[in-house]
Amino acid sequence: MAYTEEELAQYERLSNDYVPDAEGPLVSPRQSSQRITSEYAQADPVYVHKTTTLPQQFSQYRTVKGDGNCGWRALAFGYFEALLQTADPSRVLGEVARLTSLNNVLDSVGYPRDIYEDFTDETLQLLKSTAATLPVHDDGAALLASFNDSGICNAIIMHFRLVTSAWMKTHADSYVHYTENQSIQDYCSTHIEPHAVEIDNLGLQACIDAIIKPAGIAVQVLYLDRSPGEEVNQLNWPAGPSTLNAPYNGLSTIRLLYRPGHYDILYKHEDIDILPAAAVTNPQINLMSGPVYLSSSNVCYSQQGLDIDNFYIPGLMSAGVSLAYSTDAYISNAIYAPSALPITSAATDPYSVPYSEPPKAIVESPTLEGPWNTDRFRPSQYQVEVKFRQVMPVRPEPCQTEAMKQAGESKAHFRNEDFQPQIWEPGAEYNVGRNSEPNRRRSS
Amino acid sequence: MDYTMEDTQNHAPGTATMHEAAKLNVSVRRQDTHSVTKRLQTELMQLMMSTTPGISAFPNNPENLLLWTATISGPDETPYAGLTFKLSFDFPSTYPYAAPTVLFKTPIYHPNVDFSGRICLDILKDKWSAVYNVQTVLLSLQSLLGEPNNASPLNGEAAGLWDADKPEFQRQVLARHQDIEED
Repeated sequence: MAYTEEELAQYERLSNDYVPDAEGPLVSPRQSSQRITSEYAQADPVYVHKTTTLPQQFSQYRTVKGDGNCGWRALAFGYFEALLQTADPSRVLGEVARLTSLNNVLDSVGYPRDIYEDFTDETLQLLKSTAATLPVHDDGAALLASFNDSGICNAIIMHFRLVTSAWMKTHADSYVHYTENQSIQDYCSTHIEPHAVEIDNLGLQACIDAIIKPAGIAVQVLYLDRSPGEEVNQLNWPAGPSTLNAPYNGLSTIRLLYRPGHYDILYKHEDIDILPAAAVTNPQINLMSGPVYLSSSNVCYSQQGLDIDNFYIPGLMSAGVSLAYSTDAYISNAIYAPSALPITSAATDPYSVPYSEPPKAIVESPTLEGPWNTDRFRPSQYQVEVKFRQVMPVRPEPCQTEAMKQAGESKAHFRNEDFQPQIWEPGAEYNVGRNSEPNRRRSS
Repeated sequence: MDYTMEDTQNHAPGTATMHEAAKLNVSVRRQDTHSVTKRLQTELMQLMMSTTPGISAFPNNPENLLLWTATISGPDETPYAGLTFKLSFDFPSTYPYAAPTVLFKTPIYHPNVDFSGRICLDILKDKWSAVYNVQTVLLSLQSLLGEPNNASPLNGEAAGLWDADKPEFQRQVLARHQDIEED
């Protein structure tokens, strides 16, 4: 034999310890998806075509570190970010309750509680800290920091793996035909439970079934591969009805870009436009008397029941639009749907318009009913894929009324620990060059 | 500091900008050490609270939680009945996401253990999961003593004898076994 036992053992150890050099942060900040196009500029024409059309639909993306956990990490990050986007603390706390109850499933397949609690605790803690700041949020900055802490991130991924594995074992009938003659037990112990083993389609399906779908979150996977065609193929998993009492809100879709062996997170224009809107809070709304009209939005609501704790961002939680489409039909049609939806600028900048103005609907809504005297809005699925950008001219001025301009001075902001007072940055405003650009916001 | 670079396309995809990288690495390292220690303390507590007959484990030295010595006793009605075996556990800094390195310190004659004490057991290799712990490894090793996996032996002669000649196997086990002194 050419090798001694010692040498073989040494090689085996080296091979077991081999970790491919994956670069970059665990989850990156959002960046322009034009980068994907330039990455593939020199590649096979099929890729060139597909990546050229990609940024038209999906303007930004996050890279996820390709260390064998990327699919899991992308799903988990997407799950948290989608919940953040709801800007609804009760929704997030509802997930805390639901995931806690899933511990029973973990118990039922024999995972020791004192071991798995290390993992579940990190998920629950991050959910709670996310809920604590809502409805104000920071556009995912805190989530990004947590997911780049490998201790927290690995624990959350492990939690997702264990729930998925336990779910598959307790719902074996649904999955056993797809495991290529492995028992579910074997499949889970080789494909789901070990850290750094990449998620495959069956694992993705099970994870969505167990965690993502019951949270009312949809998943869309875009497959960038060598298959013929001008555009990337896609698969959609519609959101299930939320198990919570909160009105179903189809806002959230996790979009993943799959390249053979790797997942990243994609965003449409609308996904990103929604985020900064939700990041603004305006306690002045509380002080208003009488009905509040958001012009050109078809949304009219009374002030009743509005307070800082259950203030729903118009255009996020609801809008006065028809519920004619069923959820599932909507999700699967959304991608091809024309952009003439009766949704307007309210979703982009809810505060951009004088609240005392009467509504001036740009697009006729068939169901415009005037103000509703309820403290909850009617939920709608329309907000998911709103393409108002194409319909509406973008308003340049974020604040147009005195009341809105003074929102930044409200003491109610002090309840939010991430609150930053407005700082006038002449550099940004007049574009006088980077040397004179103040950076107090970041360095202070 | 210059933040304007962050949004340019010159920036390689997927790489953190300098200040991000610096910030991320610091927190990553702190968290890793922290989670290993926390996890091992939990396991130690668990092992001491619920004594499982036939297995025990303890850190070699209170200063370093990453090196443990464990003991398992041979299950009854196996060639290893009445014998005790010492093992070493070496936990990587990525534990529990990576498996500990486990070696038999007591010389043992077994189809799945070589003469250096290295063990062939799936849950210590590709099936390792963070949900396993010292206790599950020791219980698995104990059952491996009674039920060797002769399909992939590290010690081919032992695998052959196990099937062909149990009395000879038993003699080899006893000949190889020798208690090692405490250290």
